[in-house]
Amino acid sequence: MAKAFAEMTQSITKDDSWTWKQVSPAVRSGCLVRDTSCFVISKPVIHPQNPSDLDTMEEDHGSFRGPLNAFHTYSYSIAHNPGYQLPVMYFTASHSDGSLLHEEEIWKDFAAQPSNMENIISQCEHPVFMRPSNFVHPCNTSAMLKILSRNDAIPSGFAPILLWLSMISPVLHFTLPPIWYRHLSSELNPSLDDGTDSESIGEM
Amino acid sequence: LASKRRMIATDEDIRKEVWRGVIPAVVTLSANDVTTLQAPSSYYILLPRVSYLPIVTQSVRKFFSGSIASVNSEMWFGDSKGRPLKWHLPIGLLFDLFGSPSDLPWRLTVHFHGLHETILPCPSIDTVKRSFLHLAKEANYLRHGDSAKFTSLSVAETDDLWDGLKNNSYQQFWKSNEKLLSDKHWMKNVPIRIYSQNSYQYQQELIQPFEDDKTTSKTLGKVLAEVMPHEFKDGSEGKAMVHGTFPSMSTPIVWLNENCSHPDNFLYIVIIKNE
Repeated sequence: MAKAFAEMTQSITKDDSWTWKQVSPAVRSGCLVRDTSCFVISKPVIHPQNPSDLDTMEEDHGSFRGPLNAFHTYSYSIAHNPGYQLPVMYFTASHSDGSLLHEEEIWKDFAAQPSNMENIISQCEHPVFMRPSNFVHPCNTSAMLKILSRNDAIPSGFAPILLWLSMISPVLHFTLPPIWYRHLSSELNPSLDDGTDSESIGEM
Repeated sequence: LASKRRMIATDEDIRKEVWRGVIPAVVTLSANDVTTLQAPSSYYILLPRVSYLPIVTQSVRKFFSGSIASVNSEMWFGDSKGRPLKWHLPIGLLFDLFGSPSDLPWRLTVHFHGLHETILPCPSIDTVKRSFLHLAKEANYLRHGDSAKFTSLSVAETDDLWDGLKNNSYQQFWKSNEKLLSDKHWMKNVPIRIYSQNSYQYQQELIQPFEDDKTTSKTLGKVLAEVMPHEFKDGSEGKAMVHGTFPSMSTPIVWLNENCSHPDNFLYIVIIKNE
């Protein structure tokens, strides 16, 4: 099903596509990889030498106080986690020089208080690539997915993966292409031709 | 850990023996990091099997601080074959994978720059704490079928798990760890990771721990035959190592997980293939 999802994205949203990568023939040694990375401007760190400097800096809206190349690169993949028996979103986050971000630096790339992110995003080893990575904790989504899977009205197509992506989208640095939602709508309502009836999504 | 000894020793004796295991090691500074005219001597250290490299090697950094460029740079270790040692695995597992009991002390090289690309960054001891607690959470999710037992530990109890490990205090650790076991030795799935020597690849499957009668624990041999039928079908001779020893194949898997896990509550098994 993951491979079918990858094919769907490659045909519908070429600039936001996913690819299935198989590292070895062994079971569970493959994962879905997002083909493009996204870039997050890191928040500049301001260290005024004395309090009066802060006033001048606040006036200067145009200039960027941090180093010119202060952006972070996020690359995503989805793999099955054998412990939680769920899909898990993994990502690497690097500085512009290629060095990896530490957990606390990653938390700062979200609007929330960094310490609140501790139970949401953590460092780990990627289960397929066996390299440093980070993951979005699955516990928050497992309860929701259990409820969804009990609902016989949900077909087995792309709906579960798209719904899961929607659930975790607040902690992703990319937005989900709107056209996927049209695809989701037409899956849930196969009787509709164009799949753009928003009322039927509400029935769900 | 033969079943004979289990009849004499109590569970507590076994747990203490697991806790006290140490690997004698000798650490040499990587040639790339030496800044002094003469290379420093090597450093001898006893590494606790159940701990993690960043916790117990601060003395290594101190010892070599006079010979390296920057005392605050990230420290990492490789073995005598140049293989990077991943700190997020317990020391005892690293030794069982890459070392040899006939070749002691375990020869390690310490590096202070150019962190190997396969090693997780470790900027502070809290990184180790988080990694350890995540694994404990996953292991208990497997045991109980949900995170409730683990997340219902108080902050003090969770801290006791970590502080007990960090301070090498068996009592402090097991005071909390005991609470993660269920009263009647019930488990939904057994948290096990199966490795083979000289590799970081591991197998983790959903393993139901009981026979059809739902009360008799499967044996180690039975679980291995289920998970790795090629290596462990009747008559074959793969060997299963836990904490550097070979438990009897008739050992109940539930008992093995409750008493011979690493502090993260996972039972780590290293398969030694016969040549």
